[in-house]
Amino acid sequence: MSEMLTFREDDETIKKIDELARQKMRSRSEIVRLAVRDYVNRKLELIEIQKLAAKRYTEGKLSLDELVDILGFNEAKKVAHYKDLAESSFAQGMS
Amino acid sequence: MKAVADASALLSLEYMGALEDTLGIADIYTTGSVEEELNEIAGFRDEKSGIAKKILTHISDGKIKRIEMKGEAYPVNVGMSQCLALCISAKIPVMLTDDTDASYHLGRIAAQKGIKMRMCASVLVELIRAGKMSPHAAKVKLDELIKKRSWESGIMEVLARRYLEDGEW
Repeated sequence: MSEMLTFREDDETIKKIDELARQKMRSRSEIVRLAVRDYVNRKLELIEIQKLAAKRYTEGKLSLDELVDILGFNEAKKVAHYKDLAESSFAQGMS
Repeated sequence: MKAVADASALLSLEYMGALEDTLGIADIYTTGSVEEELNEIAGFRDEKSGIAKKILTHISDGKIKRIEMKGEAYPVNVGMSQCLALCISAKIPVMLTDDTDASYHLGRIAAQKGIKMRMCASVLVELIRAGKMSPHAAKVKLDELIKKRSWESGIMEVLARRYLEDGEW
């Protein structure tokens, strides 16, 4: 089963899509379909990895350095921030 | 107890069925931009729409106090940015948010201004302290919310178990 999606994109990106379609000898729709599938799959995989790493870090089974190795500096910082925020919310309530 | 809540916190609380009880133990403030955000969500055809409509009823009834803030104070999510500005101008010491990205970007400014950022889990803790909810009921409600979250659910799972099941709170 499939569903039709309609979306707008700027001229520059459309040009790139057409260039890639030409090079790969695929249709414009096929290129967009592959791009969306690839993006969604990679994002969902990343979320699973982030979730597992965040859980292990909160349990004290991963150090911040190890978290940085797995997720990269920026994502690891975000996880550490969220853990602190969540921890203070549980420990201190609204005070 | 006073707090300013952004759209993410209000949605979480109503989703857990805890907003009504929250309004019984705390004065909750929000901003015009949060109301606009909720109006937009209410217009969608999904689960969040009905939740947003219920929150909007509390705002129009005046149970959630709406204060208009002008301008975008900080370069992130407008609703949350104005909530922080409201905390600072009205000297409300707590800001409730479940928006991971925005809280990450505004966390330092909030800390510098002496504003405590808290997630909706903090409200459940207050409801437990006030005897309005058992730790078990809070855990059940939070577990439902956790299912809706992204990678943050990994952290919430561990802390909910630690504080609400093992009783560290």
